Amino acid sequence: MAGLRLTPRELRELIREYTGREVTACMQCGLCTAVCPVASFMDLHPAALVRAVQLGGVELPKLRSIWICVSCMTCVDKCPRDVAPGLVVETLRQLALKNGVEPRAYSQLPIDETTPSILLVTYSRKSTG
Amino acid sequence: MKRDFSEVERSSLALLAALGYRVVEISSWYCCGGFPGATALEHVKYVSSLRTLSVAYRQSRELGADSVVTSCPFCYNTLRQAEQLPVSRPGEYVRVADYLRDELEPYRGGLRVLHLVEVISARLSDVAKLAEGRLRGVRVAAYYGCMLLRPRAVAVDNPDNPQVIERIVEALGAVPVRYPYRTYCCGSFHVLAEPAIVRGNTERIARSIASSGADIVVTPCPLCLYNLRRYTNLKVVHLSELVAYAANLREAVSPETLKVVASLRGET
Ligand code: SF4
Ligand code: SF4
Repeated sequence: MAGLRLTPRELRELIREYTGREVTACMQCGLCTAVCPVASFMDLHPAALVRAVQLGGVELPKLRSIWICVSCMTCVDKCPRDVAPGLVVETLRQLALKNGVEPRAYSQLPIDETTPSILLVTYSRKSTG
Repeated sequence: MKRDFSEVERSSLALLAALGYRVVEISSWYCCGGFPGATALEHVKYVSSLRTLSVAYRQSRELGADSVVTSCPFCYNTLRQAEQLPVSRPGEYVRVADYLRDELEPYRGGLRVLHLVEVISARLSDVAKLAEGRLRGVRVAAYYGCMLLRPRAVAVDNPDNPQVIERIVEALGAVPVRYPYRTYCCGSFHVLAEPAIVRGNTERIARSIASSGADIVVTPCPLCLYNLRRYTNLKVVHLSELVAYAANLREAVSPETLKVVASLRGET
């Protein structure tokens, strides 16, 4: 696995390989952030995250946005430059998970017998890769 | 669905039977995992869905069936993307199919993956006949959630301005009301670890619905239903239950939903 220390170019190429999208195409119009239902809970909102990736400046272990994105795919459908920020986020999330970054321990979750399994399944998929 | 939302399964099956369909459960199905693999890194996430489709295909040939129908938007989204995988991402499809080859004949296509709303909306005049205007005058707000509309490639309707649930509501004799946050994400699985997100989003949705003057909210998604019921005072019911109620299939509707709908019609 590529590890967490990537040059800007390596990161861009990895994203191209995993998503088929080109982050350099982003023109910073901000539409992705405008439509994102959870942008206000992120540290780097989708457009800022794409910009950070363009410049190579993401610190994966600290980045909260990758755990906040719910993969609603709104930004993916709306981006006029086909950058698909939601897929960029997903790639970063996978990279983080494969390198041992953990969003939160299961033991901290408020789970009991009334918690629907659909919730456990979706949460687990996004936090275990 | 089977464990936590059995009322959705019950009402969906009753409705399909009333519309004249013979529904057979897939003999062995596997949990779809909720989200399909979105990147090339994640093709392994298609294993369970393609396994389910392989079994379904074999069974469909014995039964003469041509479609897989589900009432869960997550299963729909994941199965539909898996169904498209041989064409949409052939390289990843081949890797998953190779992996499954020892176990099952790989799924190569041939089934239609449908969500319940697609089946109902294809039979609106029959639904209207069953409903006999039982919900006449009730103002219904449709809340779509994400999984039936995005990504665009698997959307059951135009994701920017969907109408499919509103048309079903009309067929029931009720009045659909439209409002801006119909397709805004409720916050999904964050109810577990980041409840502030779900609280914030559902409140926003609730305000939008309140200003539309709706009597009741209907959603096709059990997770949206769970979140909206948990954080808002809205009267929310699952779409399959509302349609089953309207079609006079009361024995298939949960007491909770019966109570909500009865209160709207001024019954006690
Ligand atoms: S919508 Fe696309 S082009 Fe616009 S800021 Fe977001 S990623 Fe960049
Ligand atoms: S896919 Fe993620 S980043 Fe994109 S709009 Fe949805 S939640 Fe926001």
